[in-house]
Amino acid sequence: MVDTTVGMEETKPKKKKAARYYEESEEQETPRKQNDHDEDESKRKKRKRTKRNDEIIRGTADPFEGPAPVAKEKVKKYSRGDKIDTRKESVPDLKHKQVLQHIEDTFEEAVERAARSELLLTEEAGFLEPDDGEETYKIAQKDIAASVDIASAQKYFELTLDQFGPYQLDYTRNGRHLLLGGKKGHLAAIDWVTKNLTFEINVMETIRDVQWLHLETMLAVAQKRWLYMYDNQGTELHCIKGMHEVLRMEFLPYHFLLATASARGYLQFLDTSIGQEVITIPTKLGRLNVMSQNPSNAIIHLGHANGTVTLWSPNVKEPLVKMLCHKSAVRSLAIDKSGLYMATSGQDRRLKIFDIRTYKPLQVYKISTGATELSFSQRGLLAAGCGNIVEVYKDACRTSTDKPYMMHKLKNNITSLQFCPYEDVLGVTYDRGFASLLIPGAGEANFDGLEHNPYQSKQSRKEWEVKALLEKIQPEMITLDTHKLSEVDAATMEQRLQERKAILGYIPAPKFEPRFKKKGRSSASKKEKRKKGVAEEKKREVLKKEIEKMEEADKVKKSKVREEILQGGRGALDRFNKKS
Amino acid sequence: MASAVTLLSAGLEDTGQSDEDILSAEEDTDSSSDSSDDNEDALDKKENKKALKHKKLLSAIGALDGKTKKRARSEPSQEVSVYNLNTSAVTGKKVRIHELLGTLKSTTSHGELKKQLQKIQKRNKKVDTPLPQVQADRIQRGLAYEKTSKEISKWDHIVQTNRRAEHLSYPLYEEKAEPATTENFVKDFKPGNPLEEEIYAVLHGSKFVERKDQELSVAEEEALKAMSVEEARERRKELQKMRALQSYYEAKCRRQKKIKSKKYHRIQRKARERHEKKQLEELERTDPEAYEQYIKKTEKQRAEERITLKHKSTGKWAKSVSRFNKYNPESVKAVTDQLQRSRNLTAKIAETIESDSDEEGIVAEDEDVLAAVKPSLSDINNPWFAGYSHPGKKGDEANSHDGKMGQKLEEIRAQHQDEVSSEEEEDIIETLHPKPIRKVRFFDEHEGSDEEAVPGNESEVNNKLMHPIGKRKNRTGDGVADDAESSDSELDIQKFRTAVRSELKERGDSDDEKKVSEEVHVDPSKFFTIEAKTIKSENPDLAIVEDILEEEDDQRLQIQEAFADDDVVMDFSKEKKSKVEEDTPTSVDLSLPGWGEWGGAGVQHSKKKKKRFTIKTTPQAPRKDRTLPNVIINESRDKKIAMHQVNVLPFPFTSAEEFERSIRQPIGRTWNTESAFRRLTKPKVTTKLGTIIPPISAEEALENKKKAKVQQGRDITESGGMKFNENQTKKRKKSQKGNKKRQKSS
Repeated sequence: MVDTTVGMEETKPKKKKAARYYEESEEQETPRKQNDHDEDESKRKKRKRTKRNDEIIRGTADPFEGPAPVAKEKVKKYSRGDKIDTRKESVPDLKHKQVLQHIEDTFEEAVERAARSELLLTEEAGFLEPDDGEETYKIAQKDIAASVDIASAQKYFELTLDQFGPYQLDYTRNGRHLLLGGKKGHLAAIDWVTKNLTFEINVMETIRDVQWLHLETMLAVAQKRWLYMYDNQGTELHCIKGMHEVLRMEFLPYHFLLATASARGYLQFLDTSIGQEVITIPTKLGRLNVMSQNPSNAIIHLGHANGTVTLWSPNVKEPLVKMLCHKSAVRSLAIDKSGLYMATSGQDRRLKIFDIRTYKPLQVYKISTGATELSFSQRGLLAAGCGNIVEVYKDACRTSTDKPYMMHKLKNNITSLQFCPYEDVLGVTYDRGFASLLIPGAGEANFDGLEHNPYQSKQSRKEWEVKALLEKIQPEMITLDTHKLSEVDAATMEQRLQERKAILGYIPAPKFEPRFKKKGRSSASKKEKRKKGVAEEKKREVLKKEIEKMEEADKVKKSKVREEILQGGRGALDRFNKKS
Repeated sequence: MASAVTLLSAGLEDTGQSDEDILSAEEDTDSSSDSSDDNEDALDKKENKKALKHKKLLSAIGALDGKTKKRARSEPSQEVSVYNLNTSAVTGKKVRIHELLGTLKSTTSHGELKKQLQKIQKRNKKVDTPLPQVQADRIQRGLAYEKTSKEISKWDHIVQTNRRAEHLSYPLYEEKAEPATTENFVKDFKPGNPLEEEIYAVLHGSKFVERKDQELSVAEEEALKAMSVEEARERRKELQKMRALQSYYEAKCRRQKKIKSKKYHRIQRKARERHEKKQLEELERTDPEAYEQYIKKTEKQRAEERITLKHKSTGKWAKSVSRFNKYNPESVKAVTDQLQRSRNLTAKIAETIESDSDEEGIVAEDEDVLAAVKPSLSDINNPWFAGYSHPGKKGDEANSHDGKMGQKLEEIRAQHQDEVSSEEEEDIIETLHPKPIRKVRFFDEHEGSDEEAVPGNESEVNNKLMHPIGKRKNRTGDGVADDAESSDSELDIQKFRTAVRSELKERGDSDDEKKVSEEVHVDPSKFFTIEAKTIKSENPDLAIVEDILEEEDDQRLQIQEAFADDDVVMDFSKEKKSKVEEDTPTSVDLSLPGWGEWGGAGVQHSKKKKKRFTIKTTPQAPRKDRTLPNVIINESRDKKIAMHQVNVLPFPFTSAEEFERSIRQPIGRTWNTESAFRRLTKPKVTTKLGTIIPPISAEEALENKKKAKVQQGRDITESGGMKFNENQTKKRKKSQKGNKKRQKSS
């Protein structure tokens, strides 16, 4: 009745167990037997074994021969899509099949190697671990700073800037430099790790937003009327009068595009590598003061007063997607690094997390006062500025949380916040200053030195710049679906085929490319001749077939008529009768 | 001989007789020989003969005309042959040499003549006339071609492998210097001087030396063996005994298996149960700890069984049986068995355990009473009665065994015995065995869900009751209407739950209730909507909040927030509707009214014509946002990306999918490890700088053919890295096999 396992073995002798015991013992016995009786055989066996393990000179064989196995999940993480179907049915051509097989092999190897190389990411990221009954959000910044090493403790600091009013901030992509822009014209760039001031000026005009360009040598400032660009000495480089009353800016680093959103509802893209405006899109959606970019596909997200969020690319003059996210105005939005989640906060005091691939809401939170500013860290922490309180949420996207991971109270109202890349630091600006807060586990622990190097020298910076310019992606390649580029343009292909069919009357076979031949037999004219010959041949074949078909049909028709006539069903003169 | 005959016959034919005549003559002779046999045949032949003669005559007459001149060439001879050789021309019969000399065979005379004739025959072997040059050349060419192609075919394999090779590096077949490793050195080491020789002998001859692939040296192994002689004997004895037992047991099993009687099995089962009980009793007496463990284990089993739906009728299979297979007694029995199993597992443990306690008599009485109460249907197959509990005993049970879970269960059982107990228990089990939180299905958040988040607030619930009706009026959009409905049902559930909870509150202790409400993770309402989850945090300083509001400076917005939620949604759904309409293509009517028919007011246009001249739209793919009421996705084509896309399939590819998959992996350094990048971008042919690349030579190539075969057409001269990898994988497989073998043997 009940599965019993205690003390039941004697009464219920299991057949299997006994058998196993028996077998085991016999096997243990056999080698001894062999030793006794026929030594020759054992010798032979030994010889075989030594042959197999030729490489082993002394000692025991390596029990874990070959490369270490890689976890399947890891491999899956790096694999990109399905394999080519190289079965005979789908690829009848043997030669082509081999080519495909080769491609698959190399891909597989590449993926495996990538999975294996994860071993090289030595730095580990960790979060605050609370004791029982302790809440992480109750841990004050001072306590953290007191308990960490000196280098990290120095990353917690506050700047009191009480003259030039609410500030905006921006970190460079390697997280080394900080740009602060006060509303009353104060502009300062700081190497915040060493606390060296790069430059500090007052532009004598309202500053609405600040943005680093591709490097710490250039920056864009949205001022009262126009957009200005400065270098790292504070020298004005450009005044771009084509961009009026810019409220928000985003820089798309791989495309060298500066996207600006203006108070008049214009979304503009400026190519900063060649200084040309790519496109100006009149959104007709009112004042655009909420803007963010999707780092994974360079799509610009705008938030609007009617609770919608629109997605824009510089290639289409209409929004790619329009989502109704809130029932009142959208206050702020942020998109995580992987491009999976979008966090929006509205005036309805809700904080919502959306899956941007499916456009479905995942989580809805209610925050007491609503969040005015949002920002995602590299490792997926979400910071929200609510009044004068900064809250940081962990695991807010995939799972729902009911309390913040960390919290910090500031003196004034928060105007802007951003996580510093590759650092466990959150930069917050408020009305009268700037605070750099320690958020354990926020930044990516392993940086790619060729991509963004926080410890970049001047020389490597220059090299990086050249490389980045060479690898610049054209703005046309910005699409919602990043795999679009590797897809075949089926519509055009179909259209072209149809056009050719209309002209030629048949669908031509794929183009023939003559093989190279030596001794002057591959001169242009010869090649052309060969091509023509093949083309003609194919054409002839096709036409022949067509003609044969037609003839056949004709024959059938004629024979039918003849039969009818022979059978007397229809006279020769019947053809003059009216058809019924 | 034959040549002579032909010669002769040629000479004879020169007489000018036509073939036809000869044939007829032959036929003549044949017929004459056969005539004796068959009369009828003879008659026919005679007629034929006549006809032939007639024909001949006719032709002769024709010849007189001069139209068809019959050319007759005759040998110019002065003498008319005595033997009338030429007459053969008339009869048309060929004379063969053996016919002439046939008679000579029988005679012994004419020896001279015979010899002469033989000589003539030999001498007359005439050489054929040479073939014309063109023909001869052709044949020669053909033979030469065959030969050379055969010779060349030995290169086929090499050419093929080279063509198929992933990578070729020239010069091919280059000798590679192996790196000088210690292992290689040791392998090829030969002792040179006497000292070395001595050491070598010691190292290789002694049994104390470590051996390849073995942990122990020979000496060590021997020592081990020597130790275990006595044990070996014992072991052998033991084994013999085991073997005997085994065979007895097997025989017994075989016999028992044959017995199909129900009664027998019942007796068996009963006996087993009795035995188990006894064992348990004994266990309790002798080893109370083990007994406790056993009880705990069964309890855990029970709890686990209760958590899962493993043996319930809710599974796919069980459902399918209940739907499609319910008249099949076997499958029904399988389902009931399963349910029975679940009942057994979930049955109150105390029943089995307690039965050994002092109150056996009472239990028996109870059982009797129960038997009376139970309907007659109740048998073992009825899952509903299988786990019938004994209500009278529950109070005692609680004391009988300790353990956190058991206590809790008992407490609750005691509190609410009948109605809601099971639900409660499940909750508690959940809290004790925290399951991972189930996936929340992603539905759109429905209106006012935040209000539901605070259950128990009656006024809000009332509001809620009023709300949906009003809302349904407003919303005509398809997606939104569904939401409203779902919210209704959801609300009902919510209400029910709150009611149940309040009831529980009244009955049970407040502490328990608290625990339950705090710790329950899975909230059914989540399966339907996403609630706005309130995040506990501090409130910002009020003064500052006011600041914000001032800054945002709109009371207007606040008012909007309060009232105009629905308008936003309405506007959006309207916009979407218009957008969808805009995007759906409509068929174009090109028919001209009055063209080819009467026009004017009141004249109906023919439908046929209209049908003919309307351009129909092709059916569109369904919109991506058709299931997303809060999203408008732009369906128009991005023409700019099309510029960069491939729109003609490159040559060997036959389908777009195949091509797309072949370029799915980025090959740049950024996305790959260095080695992978190098392999991905490796050119087909590389040449070694500063070396002469000789043409392929038969010697080397054919020598290497075998090697190439081993690598099976893949890169024949691959650099070390690649080979390493392949070899490694092979080795690994081998070693895995080896491991398996070892495991078996041990």
